[in-house]
Amino acid sequence: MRRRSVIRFWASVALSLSAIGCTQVPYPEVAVDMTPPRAPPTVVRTASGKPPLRISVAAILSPQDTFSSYSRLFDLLGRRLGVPVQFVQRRTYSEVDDLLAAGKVDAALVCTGGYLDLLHRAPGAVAVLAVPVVGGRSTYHSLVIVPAGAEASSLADLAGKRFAFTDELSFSGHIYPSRLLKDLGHDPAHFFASTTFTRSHDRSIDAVARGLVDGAAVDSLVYEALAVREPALRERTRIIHQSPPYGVMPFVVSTQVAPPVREQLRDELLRLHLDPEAAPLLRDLHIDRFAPPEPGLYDAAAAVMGIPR
Amino acid sequence: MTSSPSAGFRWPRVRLWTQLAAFAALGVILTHAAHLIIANRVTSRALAREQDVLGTSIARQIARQAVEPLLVDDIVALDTLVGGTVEGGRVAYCFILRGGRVVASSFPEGTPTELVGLLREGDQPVVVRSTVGRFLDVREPILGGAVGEVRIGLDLGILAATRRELAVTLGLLALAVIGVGIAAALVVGRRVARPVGEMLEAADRFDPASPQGTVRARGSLEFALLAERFNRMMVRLRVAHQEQERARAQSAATERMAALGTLVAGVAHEVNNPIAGMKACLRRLRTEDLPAESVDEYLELMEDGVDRVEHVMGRLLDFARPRPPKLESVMLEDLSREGATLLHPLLRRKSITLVQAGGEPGTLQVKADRKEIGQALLNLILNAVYVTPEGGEIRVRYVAREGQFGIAIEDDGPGIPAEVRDRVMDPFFSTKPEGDGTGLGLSVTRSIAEVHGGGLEFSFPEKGTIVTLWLKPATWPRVTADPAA
Repeated sequence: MRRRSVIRFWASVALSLSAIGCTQVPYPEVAVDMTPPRAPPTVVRTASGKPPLRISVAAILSPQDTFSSYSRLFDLLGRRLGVPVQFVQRRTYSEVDDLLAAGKVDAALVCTGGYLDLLHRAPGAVAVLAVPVVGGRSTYHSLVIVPAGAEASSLADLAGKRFAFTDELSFSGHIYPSRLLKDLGHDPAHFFASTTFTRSHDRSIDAVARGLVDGAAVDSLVYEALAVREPALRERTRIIHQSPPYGVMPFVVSTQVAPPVREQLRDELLRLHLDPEAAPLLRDLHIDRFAPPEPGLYDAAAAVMGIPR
Repeated sequence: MTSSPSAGFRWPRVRLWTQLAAFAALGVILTHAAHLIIANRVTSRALAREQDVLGTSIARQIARQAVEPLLVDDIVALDTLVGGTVEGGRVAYCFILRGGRVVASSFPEGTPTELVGLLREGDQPVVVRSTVGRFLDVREPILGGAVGEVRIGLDLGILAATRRELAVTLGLLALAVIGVGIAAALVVGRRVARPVGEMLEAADRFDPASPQGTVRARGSLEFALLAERFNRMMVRLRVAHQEQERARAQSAATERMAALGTLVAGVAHEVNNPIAGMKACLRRLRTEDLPAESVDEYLELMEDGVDRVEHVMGRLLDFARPRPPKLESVMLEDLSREGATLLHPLLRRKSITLVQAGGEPGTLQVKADRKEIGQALLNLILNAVYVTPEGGEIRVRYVAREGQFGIAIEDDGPGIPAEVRDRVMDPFFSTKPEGDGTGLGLSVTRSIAEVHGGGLEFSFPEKGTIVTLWLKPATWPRVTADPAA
């Protein structure tokens, strides 16, 4: 009797130990056929069957920030229009211009410099549908900023320093400061010790705040929006120059888009701020509303770029 | 407690140190087997978790790096990213999905459809089992899943190889420890059991008659106490043996005196005759004037008579005087003849004939104390004389059996009643009338026989009694090796 219980005890010990030992990877296991697919994946069609409305935004912000800022707004716009929206992003302003010129993007929120360049390169390729109204105005400035502790008090003080531009076609981030240097009698190509193109205004601001560069030219709207979101940025940077007001980045449509669609899109843009669902999204972008462009809004900027209007 | 049908089963008896060593070794083996199993499980889980953490970390890094190229449709950058991810070998595959569509993949011939559509609960990793291997599939959303997701597959083959390597190392270590454990168990087992073995040897060697060394107290406290008790027990046994020996000697002396009493009548007659002759010689020498030849003749007769008396008295004294036992090789026949010498007067008086009735008297040599065995035989023959009627016969037969020689005394008496046969050898039991015996004769005789390594055996034919005294042969092989000799 006693011997049996002893044997049973050891047997149960051995069984439980082996049961413990058998447990291996603690995740569900699934059998999968790993053979490659026979046919290449088909092109995605939208549920409604309608071709999507392709909208782009010039990379005034980093692609991530651009996406998180604008994707929900464009989705809402698409729902209001009854067509799916495909959000197309590119790294440079010229790439977006090229897409617009080639008809590969239907509409875009482009930079002032990019718009004017496109007008110059491909006249009639796009038409301005609306412009964002920020703080009651449709204008913005180019700002030259330096690290908060820097001694420079004007652009001229940055001679021989490291400087960050945004994009070749950025009006506030490259075209305006280059023109300013020329007007001051400097050669922009040799004024700074080194220059870099950060591809977006937020990156330029960040580079100055971190001391990676000694100065940068940025979009005033982006700077203010970022300063609201990250007050430390304002503390770590200082504005040493502000340009006169210029026409804000316009919302353009490709002229290849059918006129009724263009009309519909413009109408929706102009009414967007009335949609309660759109209000918080516009607020996040610091946009009051979209408005029709005032005549001559871009003349000053065109003059800076030497583009006849 | 009821006994089960298997109650008859018994484990084979093994030595104590073997048992101790076996239990200790079993303990070591089981402990290390448990260690090995648990360590394997813990390690496996830790490795799996580590794989999960590693996979998640890699996937998260790729997801971060993929955001920008994904947003700006930079398929070259995405392809470079996924290609670089699988270069190290730890990551078996990597692909990036956007809107359910693969936009970059490390599968050169296309990403397996089943793998793309793999369902899972939340972001928990899934083990993918396939013909090409087992992979831990980790998913990492890009920008919270709004832009797409990264999927990587960690090769569990590497994990299995690591586990195998670890298991082999642990196994070898466990084997070494088990080996050392078994060796230690053997050494300890032997060491623990050694005092028991020594006590066993001492018990085997123990002879209460001879003084011996004691068992050395060593080992654990219990063993030291046991050895001490064992030594005390041996001392007590020796004392008890000495007491027993003294009692036996006392009994033998008592019985000897009793036998002496029985013999005295015959001896008196034996002494009286020469004394009477000597008395007559003295009277004639004193009263008659005898010639010198006659005087010499009478003096010779008297001398002869004195010699006879001296011989008889010498035998009696020899019988009665106690002396320490002395073992020697003697012929059984001589022993019986010496005993019979003292009995001649008694036999003559009762006209009883002592005859040799069989056996080979010249061959049976035994190892015995001449005097003690003489007394034993005398006791047996005296008993036979007591019960044999006048003119009867007492038969003496020399017998042999495996390892023993014997002398059987057969009388013509009435035999021993069946109801008292079991008690005849008890001390102080006697069938003789009170005053005729001490009741110690047969018990003393048996004690003498047993001290000599022999025994006393009774058989009961139709008439009379046969009692056989068995003794150890002096040189047994001499008789058995060549029976024809």
